[in-house]
Amino acid sequence: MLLLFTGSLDGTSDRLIQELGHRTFRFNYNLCKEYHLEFTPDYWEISNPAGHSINSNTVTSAFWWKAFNSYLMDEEPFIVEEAKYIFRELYHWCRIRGLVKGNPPDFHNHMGKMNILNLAANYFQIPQTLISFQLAGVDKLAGKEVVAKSLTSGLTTTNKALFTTEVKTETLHPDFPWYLQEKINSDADITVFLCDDKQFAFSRSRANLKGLDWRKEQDFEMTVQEWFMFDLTPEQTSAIANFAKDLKVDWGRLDLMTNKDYLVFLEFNANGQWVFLDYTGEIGLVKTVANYLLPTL
Amino acid sequence: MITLAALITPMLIASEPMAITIDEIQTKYSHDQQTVVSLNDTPVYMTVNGTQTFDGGGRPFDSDID
Repeated sequence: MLLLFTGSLDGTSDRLIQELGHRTFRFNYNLCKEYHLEFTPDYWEISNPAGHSINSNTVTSAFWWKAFNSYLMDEEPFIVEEAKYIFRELYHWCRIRGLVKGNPPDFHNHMGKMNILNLAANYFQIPQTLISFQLAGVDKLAGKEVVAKSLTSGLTTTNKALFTTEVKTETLHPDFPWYLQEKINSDADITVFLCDDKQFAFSRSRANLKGLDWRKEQDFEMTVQEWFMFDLTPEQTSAIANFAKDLKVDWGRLDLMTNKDYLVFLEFNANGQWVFLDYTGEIGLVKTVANYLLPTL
Repeated sequence: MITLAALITPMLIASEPMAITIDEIQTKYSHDQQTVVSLNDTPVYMTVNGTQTFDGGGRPFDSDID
């Protein structure tokens, strides 16, 4: 049985459950109070109010999917942290025993954008990139068009996000930490979804993009197909496979751009969204993922 | 000097919450089915993409642009 650490309103998890049914136990962080949990050094068991249960003997795989993206509403911070600790501990119980699929939620705490770019440079073109305090090193971007990006994809206290934004380096305030990158002009955004040994490559035209970042201009109503699957060349497939091998991952999403015939690597998202690439299900990504998480015997 | 605040885009990750709010579609999570179910005829639109949704009180319910 798959132990799915997630939140109750996550649509991706809904789709996985529709595919896997009761071969999965859904453990929703934001509803944790509704579960019964017994967790000892030797044994654990979780049951939900409907009577479904999973325990340390019946679990065969575990997957963390955006569990902490949901909030524990109206709980004081101490309770929130205690609950998070328990979820992490259970996840690591599974990880220690080699049961986890996908990547841990804190993957990028240990392997962030700059270290990944260093590794990716072995296989792809990479843009000139700089993280800076006090704008040190910004002279190395002189003469280039530059964009500022967020390292964390986090939100400000006013719920604002920093999307990719073109900047003039001479106008940046030195008191802020900056993540700057050479702007890549490309006809398309490319994203490659990794699932086990499979690579699913998609392209999104930048022709009608008003700004620089497709994330800011998504059609959440899913009325218009934005991403189109395409075949990678054998060389591209090999480069991606070797990159994934070096990074020790079989899951995640690479974001790239094209520069004539070359792929320019931008970043790797260890826990990036993927359902949006196949919202209608025509490609079968949900089935592929379900089979990756819990192989059919 | 342009400050960080000035560079942050004025738009939220989703310019508005998903088309139908939680209260309007009267959803309920079903522990039996282990998915969200709609209690009325309105289809359920859920977060499957990089977006931010809000509860009935306007508080952010999730945060994911990745």
